[in-house]
Amino acid sequence: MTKYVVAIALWFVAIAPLGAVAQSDERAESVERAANAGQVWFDRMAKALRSLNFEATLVQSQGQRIQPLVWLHGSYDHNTDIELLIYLNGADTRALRIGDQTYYYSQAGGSYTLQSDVTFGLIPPAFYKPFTQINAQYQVIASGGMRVTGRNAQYLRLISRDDNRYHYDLWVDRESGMLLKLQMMTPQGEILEQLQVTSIAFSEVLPEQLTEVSDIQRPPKLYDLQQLTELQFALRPQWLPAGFELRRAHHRKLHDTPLPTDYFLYSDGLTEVSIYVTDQRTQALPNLALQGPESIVNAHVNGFAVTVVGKMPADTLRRIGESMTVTATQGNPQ
Amino acid sequence: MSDRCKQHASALLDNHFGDSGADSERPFDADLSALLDDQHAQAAWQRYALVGHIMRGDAQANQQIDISAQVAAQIAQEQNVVVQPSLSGGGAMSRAASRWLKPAGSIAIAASVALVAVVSVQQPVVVDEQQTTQSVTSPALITNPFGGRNPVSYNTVIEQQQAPSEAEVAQQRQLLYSYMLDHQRQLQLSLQEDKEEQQQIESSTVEKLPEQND
Repeated sequence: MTKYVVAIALWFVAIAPLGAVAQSDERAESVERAANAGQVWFDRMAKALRSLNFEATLVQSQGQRIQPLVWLHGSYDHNTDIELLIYLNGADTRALRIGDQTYYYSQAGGSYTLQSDVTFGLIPPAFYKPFTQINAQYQVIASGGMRVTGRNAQYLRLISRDDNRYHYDLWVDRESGMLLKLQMMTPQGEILEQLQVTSIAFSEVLPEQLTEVSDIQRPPKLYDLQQLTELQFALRPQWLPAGFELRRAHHRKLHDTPLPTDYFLYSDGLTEVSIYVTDQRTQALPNLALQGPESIVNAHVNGFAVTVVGKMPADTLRRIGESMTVTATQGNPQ
Repeated sequence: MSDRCKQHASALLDNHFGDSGADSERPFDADLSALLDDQHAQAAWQRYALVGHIMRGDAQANQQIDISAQVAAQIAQEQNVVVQPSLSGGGAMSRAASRWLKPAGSIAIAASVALVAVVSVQQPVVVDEQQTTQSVTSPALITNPFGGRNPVSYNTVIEQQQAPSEAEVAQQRQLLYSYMLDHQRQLQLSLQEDKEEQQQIESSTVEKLPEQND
């Protein structure tokens, strides 16, 4: 906390000499102040998600679907936090995370272990890290307060610096820094996904239920099932929105199909996009574009079917897909 | 437990048991004792009671859902079947094990996302059929196939020479679903990879500084 106070104090010192300036500068200054406050709030939230002890219920809605969850979190020791998520509708699905080991139990789809210090599927992993990690492509602006979950909340707008990505609205508890509500939306403002904490109780110590989970059975670790080989096709993406970096690239068969596929995964730190390339003759999809919480676009390029998937506007995915061109050299992209 | 039984549990909690017209023909006592004997009904009762408490704002720590017990029970149940690929051959146990282990090959991820994928892949099918009877040139506006308004509109443009057969549609839907699942799976593997790399760097910094190769 003192860190933030110091940060704010330093900022004031920096801005003070510019005190008597024209009105337009003042407006710019207030925008900057909101952005600065936004970052402070975001970082506070990131810290709160790791350190708070709480028992919460929440609702996650995507499109027509609504899913209630129980969410427990606690700090076991300085380095280890424990988290338990229980999906209350449909097949009994739970995620238990102890430090950087996450165990997923599902009656519907099997169980597995993932080495990760974020529970997948609820909140973007970037929300657990300082804002500077995504500062280049996104900005976060503090704009006013609101009552959320019966508590006094700070409203934050997390928007991309271009219109190629989805935006987020966040409501953060002013007292604890806890995330209370989240909306993901298109640049046009259409809401695609929502998360709303419906009840929350904070405690000084680890919630009791989480003290008894340390010696449970661990499912097998998730791994690449197939042999990954060098990229086979010559098609490479020539355009992605600024800030996207290659994370994975290999050749294998598309999950659960016999389709030989070149695969690329790119990330800008908050948003990920997958690109799949297959021989058009073997893949039966028409040109199509679906926009939703996960968009998917299929396009035919140079005799290849290019399929792009991600939490991004379908337009962006289409541009990425259509930018694919045959490059002379085969091998690693970029 | 049947829906009717759940309704009974709920009604009982609200002191409305026997109020509903449909049930009035059955003797109250029989239903009630059946309800009290039914373990599922008891569990439902507990949940409804908790929801009631939470809504009235008087939930206390010791009234919270006993998740540890649930997890323990769940784990106890799974214990024998989840992580024992090397069970001696044959027997129901190893069959169960392989059944549990197999899905690791077709991991269903965060149920949430997977199911959304199903919802979204259902869209083009509907659009496609409408499109062939209406206009091929204008992008179709998506309406909820089941009536009512779809909170998420899928801007869909589909170029197709002729209407695909039912089998082709099913195949396309399956393929879209495979892409969605594959994407989810890769995201998780990438998350894991990041963590592993991070740990490698951390352990290697002990001996030497990590190389910057950007």
